Amino acid sequence: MKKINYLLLLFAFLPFVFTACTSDPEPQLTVDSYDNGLLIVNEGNFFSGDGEISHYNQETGEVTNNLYQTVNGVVLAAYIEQLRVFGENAYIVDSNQGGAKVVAVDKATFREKGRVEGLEIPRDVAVAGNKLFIADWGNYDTEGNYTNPNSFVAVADINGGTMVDKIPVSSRPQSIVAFSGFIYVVSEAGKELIKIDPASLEVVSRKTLEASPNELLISNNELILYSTVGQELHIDKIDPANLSAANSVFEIPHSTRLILDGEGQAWTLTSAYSADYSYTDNQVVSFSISGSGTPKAIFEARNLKGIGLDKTDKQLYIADDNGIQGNGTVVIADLQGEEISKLNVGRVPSKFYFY
Amino acid sequence: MLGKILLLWFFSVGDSSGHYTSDTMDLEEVAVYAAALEKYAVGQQVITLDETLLKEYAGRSLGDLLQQNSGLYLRQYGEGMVASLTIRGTSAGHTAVFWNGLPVNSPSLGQSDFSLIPNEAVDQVAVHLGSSGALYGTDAIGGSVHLNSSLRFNQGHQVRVNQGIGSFGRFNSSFSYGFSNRTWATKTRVYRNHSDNDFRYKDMTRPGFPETIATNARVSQWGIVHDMGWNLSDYSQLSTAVWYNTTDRQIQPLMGSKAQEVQEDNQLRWVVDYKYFRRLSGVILKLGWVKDHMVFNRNSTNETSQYFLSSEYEWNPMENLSSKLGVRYTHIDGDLSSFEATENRVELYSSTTYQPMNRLNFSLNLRQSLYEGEFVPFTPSLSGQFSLLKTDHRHLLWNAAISKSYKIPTLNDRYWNPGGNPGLVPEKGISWETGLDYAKKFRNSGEVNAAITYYRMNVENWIIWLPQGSLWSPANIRNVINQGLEGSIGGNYPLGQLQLKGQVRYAYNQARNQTMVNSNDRSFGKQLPYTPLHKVQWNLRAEKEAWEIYISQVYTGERFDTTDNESVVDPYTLWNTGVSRQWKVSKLQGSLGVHVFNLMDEQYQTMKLRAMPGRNYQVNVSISL
Repeated sequence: MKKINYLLLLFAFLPFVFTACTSDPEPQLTVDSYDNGLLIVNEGNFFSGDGEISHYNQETGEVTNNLYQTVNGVVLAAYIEQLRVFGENAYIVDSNQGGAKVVAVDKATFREKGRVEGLEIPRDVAVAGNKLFIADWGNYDTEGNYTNPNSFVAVADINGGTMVDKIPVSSRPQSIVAFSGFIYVVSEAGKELIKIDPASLEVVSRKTLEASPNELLISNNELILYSTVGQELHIDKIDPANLSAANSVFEIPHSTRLILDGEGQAWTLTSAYSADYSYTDNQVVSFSISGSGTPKAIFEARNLKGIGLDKTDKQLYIADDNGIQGNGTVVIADLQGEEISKLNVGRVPSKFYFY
Repeated sequence: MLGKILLLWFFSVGDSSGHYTSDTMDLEEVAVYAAALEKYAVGQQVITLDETLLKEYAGRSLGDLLQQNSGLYLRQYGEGMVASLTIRGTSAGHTAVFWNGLPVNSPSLGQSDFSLIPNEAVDQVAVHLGSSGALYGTDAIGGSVHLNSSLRFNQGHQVRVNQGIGSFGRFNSSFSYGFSNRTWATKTRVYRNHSDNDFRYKDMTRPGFPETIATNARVSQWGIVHDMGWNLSDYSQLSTAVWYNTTDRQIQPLMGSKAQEVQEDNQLRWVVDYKYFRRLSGVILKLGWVKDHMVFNRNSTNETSQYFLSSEYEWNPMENLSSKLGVRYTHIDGDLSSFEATENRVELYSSTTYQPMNRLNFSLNLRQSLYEGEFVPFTPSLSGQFSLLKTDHRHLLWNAAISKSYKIPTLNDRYWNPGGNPGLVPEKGISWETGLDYAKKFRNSGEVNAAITYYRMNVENWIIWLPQGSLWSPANIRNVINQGLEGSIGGNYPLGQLQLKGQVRYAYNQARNQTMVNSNDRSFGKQLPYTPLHKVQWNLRAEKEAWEIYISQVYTGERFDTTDNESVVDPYTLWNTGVSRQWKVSKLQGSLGVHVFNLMDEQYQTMKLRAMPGRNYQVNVSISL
């Protein structure tokens, strides 16, 4: 008798011990506003959908990671290519395979307003009037050659929603900006600069480029094209009317990012492989656009993914992905490369947006 | 005569209760010889999965079965998708997998996908926990899984038909026919499994978590297993087994993605064994071929072939001493989508089990491997069992083991283009464990058994791929310290006409990262990703005459998805239940079973953003002659 009870008792209480309660996550209503300080893009790891946005409040020193999910209660499930802020909205560009989208959120509350879906490999967005322009590589070719022959610029409403139009452009549009009333997009594989009229959605003019363009930047009310050609860094000032370029060439090899302070100083992120390709060292190189002085490496580390410039506080923000095994770190340094502090951010931080 | 000799070998020098037995059984039940795992692993933990469990999970994969019943954790990338096993907090590549004594881990990937192994294809499954590099060779750092066919002589004709239907378009069929007499035995089985996997789940990537139907997760599989054995004489036996398995899968995408990827896996395994025994010694020769052919998205093909030749000499000079010496040669051919490679390996090994006194039994294993001219670290292991208490009705045993293990870097790690690093050295591990084993038999033929084991392990030179600019490349940089506790209680108890059976398993696995990639890395001392600290599983079964009912629960603790443990995948609890009935009409036996999986309709993910199904059902009918 005693033995029976003992055994049955053992099994009888077990179900109550291990019942786990899970409830649907609810959006956390927050009154914080996020249109201050800066936003950090954490790209995420490949095929993991763990890209997210972090916010750094410079006054309080508080870092909010997983900002989108914290505010909206929904998993972003993204590989984030870019974050842009135009007007009242912030745009998160996600190229997650099979689920690519551009999410429009209110820049203050970070609550989602809408999303544009049905994209292939979106890389960048620009806004003109009430329209959102999305540069998209399009699908890969069907022969397995990994080319993108069907690149386009998608057009949608600035608050998200269905795509209303697709403008075909040359292969792999990398970067898109709105500048003095027109949309400019550069294609990396197609090596072209294309100018589009946002009202008629027509391609107004195109120009073949010698080098593979990296990015279009707007600095000091000028349209700048940043390219890398072999061992050189090129900064071209583009004339918006006729697309001609005034070249500046710098002997800085392997550069991947460029930031300009609008006062003649520039910083770039470079990568150098060891002789046996067993590691890469990254450097932040400071140089003058006018060409005076020599470029100077002011910060060096491995696994650096991006740089940003806080023009008000005159500080550099340097993103370190820590080998992608875990989450990344942002190093805040002065303009001479001296480390000031560090921030713990999300997975593979790479881009910044400063308010 | 052969029967008696085989059985002396089978049971000599220590079965799992540390007791030397020399029972002889009836000739009819003699099986094609398969060495008991425990024979040279005295004092180590071996979990044997019940044959009834394999039949209950017929039509499902071994991955599903292990996840629900073994206390071990599998990383499942969706329903019917890749399932990799982690034992004692180690990686998927740290479990050696064997089929009829042949190592079947892919030499290019270094691991096995348990979702591809259907339960109908194997008859016996045993999991050996803990480092056992000396016994089994490469990859056995966390443990090893042993799949075997079992073939019996003198069974006459045997036919078995099984049909299962379940939720989400699940349709499983299998047929097996066997014949055996005193001299030879043959058995063939064919199976076909299909599932649409269009289950419903709540999409966490959309506002409102709308209920969505899974797309692109269909799985279609069929295969054939053929076993044959001959008793050539009173002293010798020849046996062979062939298994061809082909699986066509759509790859379930991440939540929020509509990616449409597909993968086809074709696998062939073939083994030939020749055994020759005299009274005090015997020789075993083994020949094997393992071929894996995988096509991803219909345009990327990866194929590997492994050829094995091994021979073992075993002798039993005294009742309480048994020893064997063996050599194994392996030739590997890899034809991968980005490279080709061949490799030759030679291993020399020896195992000895000795029982110097009635209460003490121990095993010493040694192995030295060589691959492409490189020596692997020498791998010894020593394990033992001491009877603290032994009577006819009870025993309490104290187990202890210390062992080394290793893993030869995979072909992909060394040669993948771009990024492969031919300079990699083998990963290595050393582990200690100790524990207690208790069993008690009651007068009414009920029994209870309990075991608890504490282990500690260091794994070094663990290979991980790190980004070098835009190129990823592997390096031997990770070191991990593991420790944990495994406990189990089980038993059966007759209650009048009712027979009650139950089992509880608890596993606590701590796996602490000892590596920092750079000075900003926040991963030092943190738990490895996707390694739950806690996993508990229990089941309760009641049998009465022709009826059987069971209920089981599995709780999996939270897992971290990054090395710095800054984000979590929620813990979850799954309940399963089922009822079955047997019939017997003259020579025909039949059974009907109804099973409910995930009874509480829990929304859960094993891996982040990989949806898993809610409550689902399965009905199995089987008829055998």
